[in-house]
Amino acid sequence: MSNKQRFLYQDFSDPKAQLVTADNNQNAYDIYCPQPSCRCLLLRTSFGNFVEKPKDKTVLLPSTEKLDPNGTTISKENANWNGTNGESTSQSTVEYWQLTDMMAFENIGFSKTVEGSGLKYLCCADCNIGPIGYHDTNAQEKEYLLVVNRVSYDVGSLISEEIV
Amino acid sequence: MAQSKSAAYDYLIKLLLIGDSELSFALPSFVNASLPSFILLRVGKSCLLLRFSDDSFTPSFITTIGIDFKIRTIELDGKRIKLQIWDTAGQERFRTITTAYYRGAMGILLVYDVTDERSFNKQHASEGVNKILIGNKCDWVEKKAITKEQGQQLADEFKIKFLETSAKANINVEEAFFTLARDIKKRLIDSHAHEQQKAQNLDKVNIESKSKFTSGCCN
Repeated sequence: MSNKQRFLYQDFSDPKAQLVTADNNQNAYDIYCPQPSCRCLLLRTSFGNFVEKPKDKTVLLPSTEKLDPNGTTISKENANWNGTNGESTSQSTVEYWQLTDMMAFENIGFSKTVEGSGLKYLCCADCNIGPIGYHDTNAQEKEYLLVVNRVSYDVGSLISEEIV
Repeated sequence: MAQSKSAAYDYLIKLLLIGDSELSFALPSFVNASLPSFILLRVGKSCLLLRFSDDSFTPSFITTIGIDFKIRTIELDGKRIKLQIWDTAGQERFRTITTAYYRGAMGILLVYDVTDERSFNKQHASEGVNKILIGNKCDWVEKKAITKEQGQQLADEFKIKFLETSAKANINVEEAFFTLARDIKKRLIDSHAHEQQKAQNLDKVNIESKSKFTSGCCN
């Protein structure tokens, strides 16, 4: 196995440019569980479409439990820790990887449907950390949304200097 | 907007976990099959014991709501297979829920707890799907109430396969899912199960064959 490197959203200096393919607006890297110790592959490269939803038109998920900043940066010494936490309240939109077929996930967990809201929350299939996204069972258009800043990215052979 | 890729897999297999013991969705991550990296053992209603016990987080939000199902991708004999796994987690006493769960399941893992005789006595056979009997928590030797021989005997009675597993010690977990998936593949796919003579077995299952993985940008 190659010495792959996984990075979180906040490790990227310009996440939107670096994580999204310019030509077709898809995820440029394999997507993994945000927990560094968890090896669960959630979504393969280019299986998700990058979408932004206004905050008032989406579901604001409760925080992912205990994403301790001290424990979450992989290779912190190589990463550009620029201080943004990815949950910035100044942003008016939330960024997602959107799937229209749930079988496009490599590994994923679905919570039971929450009564009232009709939501199913997404979690890591291995360690159950979440919510890392949601699926609205009442939505007219079927979609599965993985929050861009709640997952980690395997940049593969890219050396870390190319990230920052 | 660019269309996201449709799921790239060859077959979809729907599995059901039934039983008091909490093998739950214990299945290694297949990121690196040679390095089973995961283990999960439910020890109480919403309490989880994680293999990565040094991690300080508790996945309580999701586990409080409860997990409905998981999707896992495995490779079996060169085919990419999606497993959709439901865990009835003790709900089998509610017949209506069970019926809903059963619908569409191609394989069932009947799980009992080797330390709990009641969970063993509750096991029952069911028709029309592949099954495997699982005696979980086999690492807990000093608490063992059901012997391996008893388990094997019951499996022989049901005419199904049998494995003792430990989600905690990661014994045979992967083996259990692979064994069942392989049997299902054999029954539904390799033997041309879509042919008419097997239609009666198949009318409640829905094996989806997808075009081969052709993206070329991954792996």
